[in-house]
Amino acid sequence: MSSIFSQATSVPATEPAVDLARLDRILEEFKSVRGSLIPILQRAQDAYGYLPRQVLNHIAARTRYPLADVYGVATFYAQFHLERRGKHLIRVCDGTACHVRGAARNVEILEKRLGLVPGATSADYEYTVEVVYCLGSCGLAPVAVVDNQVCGRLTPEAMIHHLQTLPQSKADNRNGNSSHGS
Amino acid sequence: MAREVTSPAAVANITINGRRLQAVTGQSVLEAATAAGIRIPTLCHHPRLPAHGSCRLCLVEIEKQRALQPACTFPVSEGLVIRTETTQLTEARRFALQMILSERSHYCMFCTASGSFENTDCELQRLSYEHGLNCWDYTPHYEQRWPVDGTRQHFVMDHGRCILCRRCVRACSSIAANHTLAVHQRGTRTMIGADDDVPFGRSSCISCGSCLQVCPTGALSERHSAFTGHGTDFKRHKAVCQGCAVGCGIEVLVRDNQLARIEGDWDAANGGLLCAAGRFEVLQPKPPRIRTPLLRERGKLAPVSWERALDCVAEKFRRAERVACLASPRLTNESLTALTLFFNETMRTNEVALLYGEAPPLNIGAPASLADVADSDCIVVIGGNPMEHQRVAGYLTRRSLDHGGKLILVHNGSTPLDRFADLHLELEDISHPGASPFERLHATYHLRAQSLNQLKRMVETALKPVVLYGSGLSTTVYAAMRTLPVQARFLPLIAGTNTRGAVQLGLSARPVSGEMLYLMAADDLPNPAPLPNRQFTVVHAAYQSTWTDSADVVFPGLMWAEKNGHVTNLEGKTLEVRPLILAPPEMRPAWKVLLQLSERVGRSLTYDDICAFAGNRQPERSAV
Amino acid sequence: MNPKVTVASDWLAGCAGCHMSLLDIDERLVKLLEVADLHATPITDLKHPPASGVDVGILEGAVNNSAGEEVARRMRQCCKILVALGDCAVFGGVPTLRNGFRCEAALRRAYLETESTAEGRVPDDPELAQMKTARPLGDVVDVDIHVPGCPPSPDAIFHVLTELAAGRRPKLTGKLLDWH
Repeated sequence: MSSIFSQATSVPATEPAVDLARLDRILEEFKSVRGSLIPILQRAQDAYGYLPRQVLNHIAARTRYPLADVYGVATFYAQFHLERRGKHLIRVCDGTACHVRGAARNVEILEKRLGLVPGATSADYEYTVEVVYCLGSCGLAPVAVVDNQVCGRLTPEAMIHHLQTLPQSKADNRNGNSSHGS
Repeated sequence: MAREVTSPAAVANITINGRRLQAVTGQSVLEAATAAGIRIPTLCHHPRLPAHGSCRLCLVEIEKQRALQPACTFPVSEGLVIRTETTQLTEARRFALQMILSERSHYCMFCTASGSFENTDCELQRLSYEHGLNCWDYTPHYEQRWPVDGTRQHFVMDHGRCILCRRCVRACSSIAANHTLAVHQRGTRTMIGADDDVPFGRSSCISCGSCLQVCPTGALSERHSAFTGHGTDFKRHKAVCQGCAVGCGIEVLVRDNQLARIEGDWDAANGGLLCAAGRFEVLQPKPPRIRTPLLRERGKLAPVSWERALDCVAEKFRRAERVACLASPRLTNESLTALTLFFNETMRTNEVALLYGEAPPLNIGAPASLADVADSDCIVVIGGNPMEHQRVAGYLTRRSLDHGGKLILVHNGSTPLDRFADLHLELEDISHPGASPFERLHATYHLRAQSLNQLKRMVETALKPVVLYGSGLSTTVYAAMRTLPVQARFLPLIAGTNTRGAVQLGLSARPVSGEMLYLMAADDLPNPAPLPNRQFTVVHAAYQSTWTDSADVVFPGLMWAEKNGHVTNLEGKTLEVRPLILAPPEMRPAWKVLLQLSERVGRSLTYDDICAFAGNRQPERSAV
Repeated sequence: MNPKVTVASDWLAGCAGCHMSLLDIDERLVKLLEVADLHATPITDLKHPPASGVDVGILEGAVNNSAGEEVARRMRQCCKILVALGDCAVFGGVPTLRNGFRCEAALRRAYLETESTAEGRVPDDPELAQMKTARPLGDVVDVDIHVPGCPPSPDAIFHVLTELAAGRRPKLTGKLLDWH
């Protein structure tokens, strides 16, 4: 039975506690800017890597945007992700040129090596694999973008090479690189 | 006209179907056509909601426009030439309907809204009949299941019947100002959702039912009246909700002398908006009805005739040294008048009080109406919690905030309005430390002078400030309110349906003493706490309760939908209450019982006595 | 005198309510029989249309298994004008309620999980029809006339049959058009 006092939340039990101080700084910046919901969401996603439920709730609590609208905007646009993604984002292009030049093989090798189908994130949150449509680099087909780096004329072997040269959080602790907030 | 024209009306000469018309700049083609009596089919449009233009049923041909245009959003302009009925338009509308029908599970045969052309409650179905649709051109996807959300207590959402018209979303924001609903996802995955996609019953939904009232299909359907009829199976009566002191206008649907459904009256001061108590809870099952007088003999209550019961009570009245009366603030002005007259004149006592209910001083300043609350640019809520006790007034407060209004909250504890406050001030409890338990219930709160000044300064900058104020504030606070700028208007947060009517008769909630107690309980549903012990208790009530169980004599009373009379709401408006259903046989209205008692006691009152005393608040002879 | 229009009918996944509604035309049946020959129907003695075919075929009920598909196709072949009678034939109707559960789950529930079943077995005799998604008639064969209603009113049915007998295409409007 609903109560006029209830605040909605569907924060999953598995969602780790989020440091909202960073979000507060973003909200402060946009305090008197009208129509700023999308920029706020973009900056929040940059800061946290994705949009945890706690972040959406906090945006609604601190602004005049109702939670339902915040969630509506976040789910409307493909650029917003409400689930935690891997540290390394591998986007394989399956547009016409890449498709005929063997994009499928690159998707397959990812499934073989990482066990990930398109859209999936690895259990250790290291990798996310996505299939996208036409990155506009058809001259370099087949193309994939690995952590914002465009890799053209990609063979399955070259794909593996790129994966191996990614900064590993387990293997390479000295760097402690994060691909967030770039 | 649904939209307000704020600038001086500029006329636009337009032509619809060859007819030359004068429209007003700012109107949509639909509004201009409707004003001229020309009908254009619509589905997502609703006269009380902002126009949306998503269903494409209202497409019209407009000269010089490349494509067909939706009339509900297309603005009129000088020289516009419009056609609303052509073969192309009929085909376009049929196509729009077929597209809508193909998207989800529109199975009419097991839907509560479904009916024949004259009697259906489903606007999609009626339009389909109108356009001669006798089959689906595009088969829906059979295996897809759309969720049915039954987590709300009083009404159910079947997403399979949703046409994504967004009326519910618009109602939730512009009518209820609660903003629980929005559209989530996109494309074929688009869904109406609550908050961040939680079940409706666990969301910030307040169950006001505004979305339910505007839903054009059977997607949102009420549990209580589901499958009990539709359309003209019900008789509709305009009435007044007696749930609280706001007195919202309602439309009650009645069938076979049963209350089937309550809807908000669009034409009343509340503009169709209700709360869960007035729309749903009032129809929930009640305790057993008291249908005959009851007399306690040899320890047990047994049914007796009216004559026997009246004789017994009159005898007790004659012998009693001190009698007292407690009355429910749900009673009508007529019953309260009869009651005070009976006890003051026939019984010669002033021990007459309200059972509960509070009103703050009513002479603070210019009165505010409910419309003033919604229109205000600065609202002060001091010493009360309207979101709980005068809910529609609270919802209208939120509506004013949506339009940029400011909110000053002065109270302790937490209320649902807290997070919207621009200024939050705290009260100090200055009740006497040695106060009795009764006095503790009516504590007195004070606001420091410094805070009062802060409040005053903010109100001074407003053009249309409204103060919603409760009881139990110190003298200084009420005095300070009286000195607020002249544009300030005041709405007392009164507790109890007709407390204002009672207060105008000089009644208040205070302890009364007497070894014989006459409790006029109306159709109150009391908390289980028993009454204080008296030597002899008479209870006049509609429903069985711990009060009637412990009484010596019980008189059966009317419930709200059976009464005839008037109540005075918190705005000070006297609202007429008319019977919607017939009371069970053998019922007598309260004032009549008191007249008959007065005869037997030996100092009769007459019907005319009551009328003379009540002024124009006359009990109707034809009641019941 | 004009030759009578020949009519055959059958029912698929239906409750027979539409045929009951046909009978509810009551004494108008006499008038109808002056212009129509109700040849093979589930409620007359003959069960199969003649090899030479009929003018009007009527089918009630949704198509929800392979047997229904066969009956529908046969009826389509042997009639000039095919009428889908009732909400089940026109829209799929009540039988579609089980579509969301898929066939395997429905069969399991019906033959294995019901409370009164002691030792259940899903029938698998090759002679039995195979369960399919419940669909309207129009998804399986071409339908000429749709008569919605649950059931369609006797007035609507009488109107459709007499119009067809007069060689006209019936139009359902106003009180005759009811999906309810």
